[in-house]
Amino acid sequence: MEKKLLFSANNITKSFYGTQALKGVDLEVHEGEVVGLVGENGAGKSTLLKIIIGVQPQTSGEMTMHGKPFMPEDPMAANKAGVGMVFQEQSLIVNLSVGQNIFFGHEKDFKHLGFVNWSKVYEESKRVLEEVNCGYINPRTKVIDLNFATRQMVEIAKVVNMTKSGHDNQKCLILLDEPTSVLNEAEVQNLFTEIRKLTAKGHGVVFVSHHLDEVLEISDRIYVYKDGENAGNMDIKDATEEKLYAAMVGRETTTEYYHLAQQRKPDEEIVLETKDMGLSGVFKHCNIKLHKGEILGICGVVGSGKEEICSVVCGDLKPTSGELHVKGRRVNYSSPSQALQDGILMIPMERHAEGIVRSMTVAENIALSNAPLLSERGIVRKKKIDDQANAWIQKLRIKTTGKDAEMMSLSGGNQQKVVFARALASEADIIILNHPTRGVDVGAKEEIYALTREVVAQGKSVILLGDTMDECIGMSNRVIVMKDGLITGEFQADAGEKPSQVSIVTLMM
Amino acid sequence: MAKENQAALTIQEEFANKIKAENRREKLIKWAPVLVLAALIIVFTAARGTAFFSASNLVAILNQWAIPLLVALGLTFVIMLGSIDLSIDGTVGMAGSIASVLVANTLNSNNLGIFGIIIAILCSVFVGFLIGLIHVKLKIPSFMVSFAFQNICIGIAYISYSGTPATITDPLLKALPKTSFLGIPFITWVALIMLVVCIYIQEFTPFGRHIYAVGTDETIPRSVGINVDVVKIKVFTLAGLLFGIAGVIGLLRLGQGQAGIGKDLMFPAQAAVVIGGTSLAGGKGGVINTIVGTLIMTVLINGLTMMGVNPNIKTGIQGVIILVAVILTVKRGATVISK
Amino acid sequence: MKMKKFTAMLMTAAMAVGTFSATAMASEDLSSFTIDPAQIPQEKLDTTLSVAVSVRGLENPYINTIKLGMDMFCEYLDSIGQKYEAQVLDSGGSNDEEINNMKQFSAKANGNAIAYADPNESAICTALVEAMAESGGYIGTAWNREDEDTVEDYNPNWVIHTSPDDFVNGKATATALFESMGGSGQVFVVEGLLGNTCANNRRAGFDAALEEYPDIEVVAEDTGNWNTTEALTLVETWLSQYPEVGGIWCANDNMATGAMQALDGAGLLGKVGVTGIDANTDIVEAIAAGNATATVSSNGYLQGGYTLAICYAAWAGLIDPEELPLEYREFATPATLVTAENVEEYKAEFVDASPEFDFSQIFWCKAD
Repeated sequence: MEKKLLFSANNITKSFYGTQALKGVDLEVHEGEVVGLVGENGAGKSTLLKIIIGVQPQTSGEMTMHGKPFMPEDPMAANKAGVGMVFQEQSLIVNLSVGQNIFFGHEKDFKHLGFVNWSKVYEESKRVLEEVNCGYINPRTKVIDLNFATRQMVEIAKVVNMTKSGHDNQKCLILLDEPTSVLNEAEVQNLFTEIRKLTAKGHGVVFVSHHLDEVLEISDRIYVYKDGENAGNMDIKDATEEKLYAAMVGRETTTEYYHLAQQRKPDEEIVLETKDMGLSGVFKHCNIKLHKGEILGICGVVGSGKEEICSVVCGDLKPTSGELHVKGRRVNYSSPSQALQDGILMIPMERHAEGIVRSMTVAENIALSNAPLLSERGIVRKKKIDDQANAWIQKLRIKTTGKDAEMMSLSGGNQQKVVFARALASEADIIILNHPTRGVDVGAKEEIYALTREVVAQGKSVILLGDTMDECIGMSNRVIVMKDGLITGEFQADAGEKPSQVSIVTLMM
Repeated sequence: MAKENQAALTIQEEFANKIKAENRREKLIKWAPVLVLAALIIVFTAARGTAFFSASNLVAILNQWAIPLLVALGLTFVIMLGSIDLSIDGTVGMAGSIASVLVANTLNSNNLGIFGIIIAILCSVFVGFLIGLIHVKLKIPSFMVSFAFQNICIGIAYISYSGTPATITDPLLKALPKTSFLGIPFITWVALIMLVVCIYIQEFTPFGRHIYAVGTDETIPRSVGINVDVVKIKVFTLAGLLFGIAGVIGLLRLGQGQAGIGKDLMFPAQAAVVIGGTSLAGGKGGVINTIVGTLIMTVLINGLTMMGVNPNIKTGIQGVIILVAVILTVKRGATVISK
Repeated sequence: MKMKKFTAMLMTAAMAVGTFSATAMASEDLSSFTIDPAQIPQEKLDTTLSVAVSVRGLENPYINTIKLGMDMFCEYLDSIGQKYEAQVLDSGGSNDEEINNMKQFSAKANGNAIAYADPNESAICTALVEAMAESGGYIGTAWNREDEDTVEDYNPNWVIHTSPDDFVNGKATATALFESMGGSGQVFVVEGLLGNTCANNRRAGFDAALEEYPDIEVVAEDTGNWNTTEALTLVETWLSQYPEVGGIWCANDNMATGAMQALDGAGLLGKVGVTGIDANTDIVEAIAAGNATATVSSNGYLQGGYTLAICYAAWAGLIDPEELPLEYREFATPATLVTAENVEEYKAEFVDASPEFDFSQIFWCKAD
C-alpha cells in the first residue's frame, strides 16, 4: 500500500559564514512512517532539523508539508503547520509545573472571568499525559523535581499536544533529536511504544540517534547523511548496522591531505599517563598513555566522555578516581594554569567562547599564554610581543592586516592559526587539540594539519579530538575509541596502515 | 566501603546518583534562608531576651519591614527576568516627595487627599514603564537605564519641594502610620496585601508564569508566540507600582516628603532578594523567597541596633553577616549537569 | 541676639561709611568694612563674574538656605550693577564629584570666579581650594577642613574659612536637652556621619555637656548618617527597649524629624525631649508646638551670602586677603540656639519672613 506523502525536503543547502553545513540533502516522510536519520557528528542532521522547525532558514531548497510549500519563519509557524520538535537541549522551564509547561503560551485558552483556571489546565494536562502513556506523571509537579527521562516524556507530550491543538485530525510531523540519550532501556521501550501509537494514528516521526540499534528497531526507513550530503536512503528491510556504518563513513583517507609522509614514529618516552582515571557519572577506568612526539586521537560521539577526559588532563575538572601522571610525576591539578606550568595546553573547541579574545589584537592574543616570558621585572615589553607576533604571522601565513588587527576581523581559519601560534609560542609540549578544524575551510584545514605535524616534529605531543573520524584517523599515530564513558578500543594508526572507519564506528555506537 | 560500592556502579548509575545528590542539595538550599533567619532570631533573643521579643519591638520590626518588603517584591520580578532595577532610591523618593506636596502639607495649599497619593504612585508606575520600554526597545541594559532614572527621579523629587521638604498635615494621613489592625500596623498591612497580590500574579496568572520563562531562556516563550518585550515592560511597570507604594508608605512613616525616603534602599533590597534564593541569572526563586530575604535583612538591622553594637563596627558586622548568609543560601556556580 | 546685633551694626555702619580704602585696613576698623561700589572699577563691573556655592544635597533644608544666601547676594550684585552668572555645584555627597565640579567651574571662569564651598569631607578641602587657586579665582570654605590646613597656604585665593562652632552648638543643644529633663534620665544619641568633622565636633560638644550632668545616662547611641529614615528606624527600635527614655539628642534636624516620628508612633511625642541642629522649619515649628526642645540656627543664608561677599571684595580688589589679619580669615559664624523661649522671635524673622542682610558689610558675619 502506497502511503501518502506528509513532508518532503528537497535539495536543502545551508552555509554559515562560508562553510557549507548542508550541501543539498533530501528527506521524505510519509504518513504513519518513522524515518531514521543517522550520520557522524557534523553530518548535518541537527542543521536540517533546525531548518524544518524554523529556528534557522535554509540557504536554498524547498520543503512541503501536506503537499503545500512549507517555509516556517519560527517554531510557532512550524507548530501551526503541524510540525513539532523535541530539542536535544530540553526546552522546558524547570521552575514551572508540568501542566504549565505543556500549555505554556496557551494559558489564555483557560481564562475564565480574568482568572486562569489552573485546575482545568492540570486536568487537560493529565489527559495529554495519559495520551502519551505517561499518566503516572503528576501535572502539578515542578519540572525541576523530575528526572531527565520523565522530563523527556513531558517534552514529547507537550510537542504532541502543541502540533495537534486545534485540529485533531491533522497529521503531524514530530522531530525527535537524540531523544534517548538520557533514557534507560525501559524508558526507551516506553518511548518506542509511544512513537508507534503516534504513527498508528497517521503521524510521521523523524528519529535522530547515535544508537544505531535503536534506529534500526523503530524506523521504517533510514536516511544516512555524510558531510552535509545524502549518503543513503534504505528501507528497513535492507538496512543492517554494517551497511549503515559503511554509508556513514565512506570516504577513504587521502595520503597527502593529512601529510602522512611527515607522520613520524613517536619516542618510547611516556609524557602523560592516566591510571584507571574516572569522573563520576561521565567516564571511568580510563587508561591512556601518550608518548613523546605522538598524536593520539580519541574518537567518540558527543557524550562519550572524550571531552571531559581532556578537561581533566588540562586541569579544568578534577577526576573523582584514578591517577594522572605527567612526565613521570603524579599530579593533581586544580586549575588549568597549574597544568600549563607542566606544559599542558588545550586549544578549545569553542574558539569564540574560550579560545580567543575577540576584541584584542592578534599580537595580544598570541602573547596571552606566555606573557611572563615577554616581561621584564613584571612589566610586559610591548616590543617583544610585537616581534613575536610578526614572526608567527609570517611563519603561519596568517592572513591579517597586521599584528594590530583585531581578532574579529580575521576569518575562522586564521583565528585558529592565531590560537595555534599562541600554543606554539608558549612552552607547552603537551597540546590538546579539541576539534581544531571546526568551522574552517578546506585550505585552512590543510595548513592546520601541516602545523600539527610540525608541532610533533619539534618533539611535542598532541591529543587530538578530531572534528571528523576521518581526520582523527588520518592525523593520529594511535586512535582510542570511547563509548558511553568507557574506552572500547585502541588502534595503531601508522602511516599506510590506518584502521578502517567502519571498525572504529562499530565500537563508537 | 562506599568507595568500592561506587566502583561497582555503571556510569549511567553514577550519573543518576549525581543528579539525585544535586537535587538533594538543591532542596536543602531551599531551606537555608529560613535557617539563617531562625539563627538570627535565636542569637538576638539570647542576647536581648525579652526586649527583642517584646510586643513593641515586634511592631517596630513589622514597621521596618514594610518598605523593604514592598521594594524587594518589585525587584524580585525584575531579577526573575534576569534584569536589574537600580532606580529604586529615586522612584521611591520621588513618589514620596510628589505625594507630600499634593496632599495637605506645610509647603503649599494643595489638598488632593487620596488622589494626591494615587497621582504620586502613577508617576512611579510611569517611570517603571519608561524604564522597561527604553530597556526593551532601545536594547540598553536595564541597569544603565534604571540607574539613569534613579538620578532623574531624585531630581524630580528635589524639584517637587524645591529645598524645603513638605510636612504633611492631612489628619487622616498623619493618623494612618499609628493605626493598627489585629496588632499589625497599617503600613505593614499595605505591604502584606501587595505581597498577596504578588503571590497571586506569580503563581496564578500566565504573566507570572511567563516571567519565569523569560528569565530561564527567552527563546522558549518566543517560540510559542509570547511577546517577550511586553512581559519585560510589564515587569518593570509592576516594579514601578510597588516602588511608588513604598514611597508613599515612606512618606506616611516620616510624615515628611523628601528624596531621602528612598535613600539606600536599593542594595539591601538586592541582597534580600538574592539571600532569599532568587537567582540573579533569572528564572528561579520568587516572591515567597523574598519574604524570608527581607525578614533576614530587617531582623538583622533591628537586632544589631538593639544589641547596641558600636556604630563604628556595626556596618562591618552587618556586611559579614550578609556575606555569610549569601554563602549559605546562594547556589554557587556548580557545574551544570546536562547531557 | 540677632536683633541686638542688627542695631549695633547699623550704628557702626553709619559712622564708618566711606572711610576705608582697600589698602588701609587696621584690625579694629575691619569689623565695619563696607563695600563702596564707587571704588569698583567699571571694567570689573562689566566682567561676567561666575558665582557658585558648592554643597552636598539640596534635599537638605539647611543646605538649601546656603543656596538662598547666594540668591540674596546676587540681588545685591544686581543692585551695584555687577555682571554675573550664578550656579549651584551639587556634589550629592560625592567627594570626586565635588572636586570635579569645582575644577570645571573655575577653569571655565578663567579667574573671574568666586565660590562658597562646603567640602564634603575634610580631606578634600584643599583640593577644592587648589582647583580655584589654579584658575586665579577666590574661594571661601566652611565647616570641614583638616586641622593643619590654613588659608595662608593658598594666598590670596583661599580668602576665608569659617565654621559655626560645632562643639559649641552640640554642647548648647545637649545642655538645653538635659535642662529640659531636669538634669537626670536616659538619653539616646543619634550621631551624624561617622568620621565627619562636624559630626565629631557636635558629638564632642555633647560629651562635654554630659560631663556636667552626671545623672544623665546614654542608653543607646548609633549613627543615623544624617538621614531621617535611619534615625526613625534607630529610635523606633530603641524605644521598645527603653520606653522610659527622657531625651533624644540628634546631630542634625533631619534626624530629629525621624526621632520625633518614632516618638509619635509610640505615643510619646511631646513627652520626650528632642534636639537637633540646623533649624529646619519643621523642627522650629515643633519647638513652637512643644514637641521638640531645641535646635541651632547656623544660618546658611548668612554663611553662603557673606562668604561670597568677602570673596567678591577680594576679587574686586577692595581687600587684599594677604594683608588681612588671620582672625578675619578664619573665624566662627554666629549661631542662634532656638528654644521655646525665643522660638516665636526666631520664627518671625526666619520662618515667616526671609531674613534680610546688608552684604556691603562683609565682616558682619563674624561672630563676636
